[in-house]
Amino acid sequence: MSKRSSGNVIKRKRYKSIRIKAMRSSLVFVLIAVIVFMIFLMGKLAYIYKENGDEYAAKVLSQQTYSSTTLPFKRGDILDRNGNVMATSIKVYNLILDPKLILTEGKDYLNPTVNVLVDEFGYNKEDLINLIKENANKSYFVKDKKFPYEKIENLKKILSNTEKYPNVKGITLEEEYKRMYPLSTLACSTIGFTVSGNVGNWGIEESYNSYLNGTDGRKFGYVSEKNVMDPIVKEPVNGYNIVSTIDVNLQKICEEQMNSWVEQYHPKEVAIVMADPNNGEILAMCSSQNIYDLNNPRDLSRYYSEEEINAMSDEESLEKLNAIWRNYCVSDSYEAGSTIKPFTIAGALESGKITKDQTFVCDGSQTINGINIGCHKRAGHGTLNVEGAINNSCNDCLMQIAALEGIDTFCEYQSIMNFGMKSCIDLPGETSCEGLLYTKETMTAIDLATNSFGQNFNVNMMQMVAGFGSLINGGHYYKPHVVKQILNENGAVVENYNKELIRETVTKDTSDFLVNSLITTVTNGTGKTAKVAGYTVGGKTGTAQHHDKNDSNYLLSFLGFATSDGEPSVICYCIVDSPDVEDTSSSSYACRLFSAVMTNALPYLNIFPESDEAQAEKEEADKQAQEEALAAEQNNAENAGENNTEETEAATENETAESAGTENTQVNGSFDDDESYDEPAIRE
Amino acid sequence: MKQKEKKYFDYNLLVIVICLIGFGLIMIYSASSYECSLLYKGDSAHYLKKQFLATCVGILPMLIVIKFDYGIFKRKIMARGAALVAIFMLLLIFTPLAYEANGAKRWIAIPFFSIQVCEVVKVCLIIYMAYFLNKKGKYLADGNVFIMAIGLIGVPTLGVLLITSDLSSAVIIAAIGFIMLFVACPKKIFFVPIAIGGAFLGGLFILLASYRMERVKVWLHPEKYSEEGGFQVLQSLYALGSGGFFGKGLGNSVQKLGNIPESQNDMIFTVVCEELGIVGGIAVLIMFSLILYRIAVVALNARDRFGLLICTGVFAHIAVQTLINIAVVTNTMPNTGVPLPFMSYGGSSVMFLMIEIGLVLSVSRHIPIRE
Repeated sequence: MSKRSSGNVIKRKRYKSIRIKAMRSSLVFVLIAVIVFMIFLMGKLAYIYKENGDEYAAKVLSQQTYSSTTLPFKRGDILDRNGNVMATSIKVYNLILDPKLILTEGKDYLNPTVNVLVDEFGYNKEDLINLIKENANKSYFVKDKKFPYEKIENLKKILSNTEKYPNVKGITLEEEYKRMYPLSTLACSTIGFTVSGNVGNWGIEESYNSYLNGTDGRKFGYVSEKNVMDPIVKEPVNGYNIVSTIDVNLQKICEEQMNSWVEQYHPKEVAIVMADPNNGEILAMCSSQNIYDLNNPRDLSRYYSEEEINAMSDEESLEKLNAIWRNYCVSDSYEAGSTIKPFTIAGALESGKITKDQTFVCDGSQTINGINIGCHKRAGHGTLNVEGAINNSCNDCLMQIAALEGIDTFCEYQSIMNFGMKSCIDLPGETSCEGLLYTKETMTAIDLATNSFGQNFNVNMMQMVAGFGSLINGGHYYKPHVVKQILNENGAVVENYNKELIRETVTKDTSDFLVNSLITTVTNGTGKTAKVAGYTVGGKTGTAQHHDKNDSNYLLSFLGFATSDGEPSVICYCIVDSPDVEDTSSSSYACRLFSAVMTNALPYLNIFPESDEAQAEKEEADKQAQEEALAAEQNNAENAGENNTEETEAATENETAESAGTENTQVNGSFDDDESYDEPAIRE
Repeated sequence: MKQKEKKYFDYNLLVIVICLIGFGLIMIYSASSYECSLLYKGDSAHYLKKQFLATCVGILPMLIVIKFDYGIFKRKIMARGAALVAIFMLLLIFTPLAYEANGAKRWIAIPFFSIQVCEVVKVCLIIYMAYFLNKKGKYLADGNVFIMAIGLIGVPTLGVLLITSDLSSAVIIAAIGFIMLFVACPKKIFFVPIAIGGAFLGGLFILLASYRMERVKVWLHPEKYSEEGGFQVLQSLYALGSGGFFGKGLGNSVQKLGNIPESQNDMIFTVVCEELGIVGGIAVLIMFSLILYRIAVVALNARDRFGLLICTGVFAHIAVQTLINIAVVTNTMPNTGVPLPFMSYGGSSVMFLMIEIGLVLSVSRHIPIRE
């Protein structure tokens, strides 16, 4: 029994051990299978790495979408020559909502958020809730644009105070800049405006667009070592500020007078340009048909009634707007009339075809090729010298002078004076008038005669001002410009636009003669009405027929200057086109405008009336004395002894004289604008 | 009697598991910190803390299991108790204690904790299967008993599939059962028709269920079906391949920043590969191989068949989950959500895995040492 049972036990044990062995081997089989599969997966891993590693790495890089936002740059300001802001950009805020976040299920964001918005901006609560629900799928919804800082100041505080307002969600404020023109209509055609954000349109805004614009910055997420998105901010680069040559006060004076002229005489156009003849800087520029509010450039209501505007098609209104946006002083050409006479005479004198003392007889008309061309004084001016011809604006004399000059020389001097070419003013849309002038080949004797007093060829105001500047400043033709300086946002100078000499037109001698003749034209010639009490001013009147000779109206003009310390220091060119008056040919309308502008402008420019000239001289002398003292001090420091001072000064003077002399013999028409050095050269 | 005190304990296994869990925690932190800082107001360690807590909680039952003799489960009452626990847990899904997440009811909320039902079922299945196979072992060559065993696998598989509609878990449960049955059954010929039938049924299933079919399409051409889920597959492949040989460095994954959603879960292996490169990925696979090897070693030296079967069950569980997970992320098989043992985020998963390892260690404690 015990044996059998013990045998059974042995048998069972053996059986057991057999079964456990079988299981073990099965398990080993499974283990091997698993390990094989594991090795296969390792192989697959290595295969992916080897075959696609680079491709996938590139894919990963390409799809990295950081949450990034653009930080807008600030477009530069436009300042006048004294730092008054003419155009600036202010930060405004767009209100962006995230309806998806606001309507997050299970959270009560909607009510608190809407309440804050209703409180801050006075929205209708129901409307706002509906709006949010309508856009439930959006995460970016622009609710309102361009809030000024004051309006959102409070909201900003609320948004940053997450403890007090934990459920105000889904509101973001996006920053943007808005262009502002604090002076509204003042100098509008010179400044220009911007469209679609930062694209300049007309004026300085257009021609200096690339300087005014900066580069947008960016704020983007970057994963730091701690695995959190650190915002990285690339600051925007703001645009450069532009300092114009325009003087806001002079501009105001010009526009005031222009407007009063428009009111009084209802002319087709009144235009005024003021410039500095000694460097080509434009100080003020305005025209009566080009006035618009820069903050609202598409408003036509200044010129048209509401019905008219409503009746216009889009194209028509754009056409009208373009007519308003253009700048008459730069873009329009016209026949100048008698204001051309100084140019004709300058050419004749320079070419040596006439002399200053030569006399001409005016008999009231001149017959050329059988055509009788009359002087404005039918009775004739009698015998006149050159100065007299200018004083009396004698067409007959001018025709004779031009005839002496000849077609070739006349045309040559027209191009020396830059007529028919752009003055290259730094404003968009300048007309060159090319093709509106005769050439040597096309000009006839009659054309020469009419051209001599400014008819039958076109000019623009910039050409006239720049050319006239050269006639009175000693012969230096400077490029007219409206921008003086470019500054970066910290005020450091990026670029300076000093006077840029285009060419020498006339000699100092001729220039002096013309200045004198133009002054006498005002004191006792045709320009008497242009007188400015207490000041020495000179200039030339013009009464030009329009190109359409059936037009009984005239373009009246006065191109003049005022002197300071005996030198011409400011040009003012006034045009009054077709005033609604009886005597349409009387240039006095333009002359009086000149006088009115200058009467206001000259005191502002610190040009003192003649009677106070002594005072001015004294001041100048004081200044010189101071400078001398300063120089002496410097010399003292250098030489470490007082005894040598006089000697050194004398030596310096000699050197200066010598070097000036050599310079002038080499280059007739040095770039140096110190006239005292020029004189010997001219005499040679 | 002296011999009795000389007991074996498989420290190798314990050390590897601890290392892997520790490494898993690091990777969970790395993978989830960005998403956490967005979701939990800057608390980038949110998931790390939860996982760490679950691991700590898991230590106690693991120690208890190690201390107890696994032999108690050989008793009928204990084995049936385990089976009842599994059934009870599955039924709990129908009570208000269950809660839904990601569109599926798979969790039971108990105070301070939530438990994934399937994980409980897996452990219970291993215990009851081992009990059953040990008891009926010698009759397994008999067809009827074999079919009974298959029925025993089928019940929890279908139960999990129908109640929680969790296909992945059902597949894992079935796989655990079959591997245990395979090891225990002396007549391997039975498995030939099962393999053929399984393949046939699988094919039929894929053909009939278009939802599965779509997954297959995505698997074959992930770039063409990005909307249907190919995007995720591609992104995990990008992560896997872009790491290079040594990876971008720990914490430097780019793909985890939104491209791989919930990268701390099933896709954690891709983050490992991206940050630690192909070297890191293979190292992880070697770690798993070592764990499996150590479990197998314990199983092969177990005191009795029951111990061997318990270890086989645990072995099957870890092996199947690891292989499926890695196969999915390398696009070797169609996408299905299976967590990587010890590493993927999920408290229940790591807790019950620790209990299973406890069971294995308990078996190892009773390995008789021969002089």
